[in-house]
This record gives sequence, structure tokens and C-alpha cells, in this order.
Amino acid sequence: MKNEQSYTEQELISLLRSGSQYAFERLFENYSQKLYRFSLSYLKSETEAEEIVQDVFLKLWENRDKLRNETSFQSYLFTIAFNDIRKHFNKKARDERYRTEILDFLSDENPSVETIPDFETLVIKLESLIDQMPDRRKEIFRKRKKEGKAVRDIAGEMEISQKTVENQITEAMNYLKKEFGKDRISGLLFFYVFMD
Amino acid sequence: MDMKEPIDYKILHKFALGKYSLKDFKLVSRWFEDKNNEEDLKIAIQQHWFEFADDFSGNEKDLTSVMNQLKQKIAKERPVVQFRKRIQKFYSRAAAILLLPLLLYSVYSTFQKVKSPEISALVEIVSPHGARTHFHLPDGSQGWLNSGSRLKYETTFPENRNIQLIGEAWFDVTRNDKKPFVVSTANLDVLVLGTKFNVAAFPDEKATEVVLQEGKVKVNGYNGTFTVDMKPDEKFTYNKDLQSGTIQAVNADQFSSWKDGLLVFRNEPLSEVLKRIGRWYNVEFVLTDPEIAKFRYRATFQEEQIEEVIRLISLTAPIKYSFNKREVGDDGVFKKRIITIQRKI
Repeated sequence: MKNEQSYTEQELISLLRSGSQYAFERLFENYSQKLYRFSLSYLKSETEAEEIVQDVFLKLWENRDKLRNETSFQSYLFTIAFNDIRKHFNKKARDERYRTEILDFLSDENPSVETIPDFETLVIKLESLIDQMPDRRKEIFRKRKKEGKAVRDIAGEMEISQKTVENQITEAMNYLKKEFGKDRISGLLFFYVFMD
Repeated sequence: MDMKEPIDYKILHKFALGKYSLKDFKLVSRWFEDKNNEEDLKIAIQQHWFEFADDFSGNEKDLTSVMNQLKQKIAKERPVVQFRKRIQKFYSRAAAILLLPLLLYSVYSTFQKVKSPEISALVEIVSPHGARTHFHLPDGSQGWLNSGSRLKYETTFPENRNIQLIGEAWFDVTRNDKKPFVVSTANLDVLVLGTKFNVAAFPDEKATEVVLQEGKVKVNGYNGTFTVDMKPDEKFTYNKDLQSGTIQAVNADQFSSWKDGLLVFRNEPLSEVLKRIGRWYNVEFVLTDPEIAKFRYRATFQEEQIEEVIRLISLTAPIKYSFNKREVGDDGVFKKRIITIQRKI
């Protein structure tokens, strides 16, 4: 990749400090792939990993006059990336919380749910199982677990009794317990391995 | 819970690789969320960052759309005009317009399609001190000639489109692969197909500078001393004393902002700032202390009077200035105005 007009990293950073877009593009070429893969490994989402690359490089440009030669550029880049990744990760974990809680509950029945080294597949399985529930049950279940609504509020909203809401949720959980039972889960995970 | 949970690097690594259980995920989420753990987490993830591969050849993610979006965002960012803000605040009086009436030799009239014999004439365009001159060339190319500069060419462009330049000019060249466009200066030629670029070749300066904004140019030294292919946003500086040149990445727009009536400085030493101001206003600076030449400036001036520009420059550094009385030369004409810059004690 080197040509006779390639610069050392130090030179590129000095140029960037003085506002060179050329230097900015070279640094992007040198580090965007690593930054993308690294972000992807923590966030598990291509879109979010691209967002991180964009945010980090935008911050790099906006703060270019604060760049110091003494600190390593890679450490500097990492610090910006770390804060960004942490923010994204925490938001994702919050969105994921209801699934984690359901799976947690299911692991009481079948401890392997907690230890199978394939959390991502478990989540896919859980979502597809919820999706296969009858519409009304699915709606009640999502309102309760995903949106965290109280049984009473769901009953009011849907103009049904609280007892019906509770029954539907119990049904849904029993169905999930059965699907996540010892003999079924190994088979399903095996299936996903072959899908890859 | 105020007890910190130790971070297990192995679990974190497994998580990053995609081989993790619900239990692992819950742990990793806790490490990320817990504010008390931030430093430890950062150290663990930083270790991973430095071990992370950086060669993805053959398996690269296409990130051009990310770069394109970045370019747009960067373009929107306006340069910080520190000095101008100050002016608007305290000195809102109208600044005199520097740009003198353009001195333009119209060449369109000579570019009528005359059948043979073609009449060729040598045309010279002069931009006096303190003025910028817009020019049009017979082939449709156009540009700006900076203060104290001149251009010469033959109207018919018999073979090459050959332009002689003394001083500084910015060119926007119409593409014509059959007739290369050549700008000749005292020390080098710039060979062009179709592009935008800036050339500064003042006879009283050591350096000749070529800055490429768009397209491609080739810079040739005389007698085959050197040949350089330039890419956009590069500046080639030829030093006539050393007889050698260097390439540097720059923001090309900054070097042609003079044509829009702006003087733009980005983290540049006072020596460079004064050189360009001197050229612009046709004044000469005397620095009594070489150390002050190193002060760095970031500023944009637009149509300010020289007195105001110097005053603003002296505000941000420990320097003072004095305008010397203009002397009359032997020929009875006023000599260049001289401004002395000293360190403030």
C-alpha cells in the first residue's frame, strides 16, 4: 500500500492538526477497518459499528487542534471509541433486558439455558417462539414483558379481565418453558449450527 | 452494591468473539453499566484493542458511504473566524473595500474564429498591487491573478496552451487532452490537462508553490531536474536555493481563498502570515526578534484595512508594531511601506 508519497503517522497527525482533509482521509484508510471490526465485536450490529466509525472520526476532526504528538494516536482513537461503544452497549443492554429476564426465568427449569455458549441463538429462538404465539396472547405478552405494563393497565386497554391477562401470560410462559426444555433446546441449537 | 466486580478478561474476549452464554452476557452487561468499573473495563478493552488485528485485506468492509457522510459533515463546518467576530462586536463600522476595480484585458474580441492566416498576438495581464484580477483565456479556461502578478500568453495557443506566470494565480483549466496547458514560471513548469490549481512564483521569494485543488498536474523542473505528479490537496514547494522540492498535504481551498477576497491562516507561523499580508497589501515587514516569527495564528480576514489587520494580529501575541514613514525612492516614487514588529516587553 505504500507509495513514495506516504507519510509517517506523526506527519499525518501534524497535518491533521493544521486542518488537512487529505491527512484525515489517510488516517481513515488506516484505521476505519480495525475500528469497524472492533466495534462490531462488542455491539454485534453492522449499522451500529458503522455509526461508531463515523462518530469517532467526526470527533477526531472536530478536536483535531487538541491532538498531541506525545500520546499515541491509537490510544487516543481508542478512548473516543470506548466511550461511544460503552454508550451504545448500555442502550442495547437495556433494550435486551426483557429477553434476558425471560431467559433467566427459563433457566430455573433448565440450567443449560444459562450456560449454552450461544446466547445470540437463544435470543433468535425466543423471538421466533414469541412470534408464533396466537396474536392476542402475543400482544398481551409483549405489553407485559417488553413494555413492562401492569396487568391492570393491559386489562383496561384491551377491555378484558385481569384474570384473562394473567392466564394468557401463564400460558405463554408454559409454552416457552416447554420449548426451552432439556430435550428440545439441544436440537434447536444444533439446527442453527447447520444453518450457518 | 459498592463492591467492584473484577473483570474477567477471558469472558470479555469470548463475548467479543461471539461465543458467550446468557451468564456471560449478564456479567459483561454489568461491567459495562457499573460506573465504578469504568476504569477497569477500559483497561481490559484497551488490551483487546491493541491485540486486535489490523489487517483485513481481502475481507474489507466497504466504508465509502461512511467517508462520504463524513466529508459532507466536514464541509458544513465553517472555519472559525475569531478575528472577524471581534470586529463585528467592537468595530462594526464598515471596512473599506480593498478590491480595486479589476484591470482586465478582454481577450474575447481577439478570440473570434478568424480563418487563416490566424492573427497571433502576445497578451499580458497585469494585476496591480492591492488588486485581484479575474481573467479569461481563449480556450475557455479562467482564473484569478493575485496582487502584483502578471500573465503572458499567445492568443492563438498554436501548439500547447502556454502561459507564463510571474507571481501568483489560480487556474480553472478547461479540459483538452490534445493541447496540454502549461504554466511556466522562473523555475518550473506545471503541466495540466483539466483541473483547478494555484501557483505562486514571486521573483523575490525563494520558494515556488503549486497547490492542486482538483484533477491532476505534473510539475517539471527545468532541464529534467525533477518531475512530480500531484494529487488533489497537495502542495509542492520548490526551493530555488536548495534546488529541490517537497510535497505536503494541505487543505487546497485555503491557498486559493485570496481569489475570493479572503486571507485565511490556519495555525501558521507569524513569518508566513506576514509574508502573505505583505504580498496582499504591498507592504514590507521588519521583525526585530526572530523568536516572534514562531507565534502561530489562526485567522480569517476579509476586506480589512492593513492598519486593522496588524492591530488585530498584535492583540493576540505579545508584540507591538509601528508604521514607518514612507520614503521616496530615487525615481521620485514612494517606496513600499515598511512596518516594524517588535516584542512587547
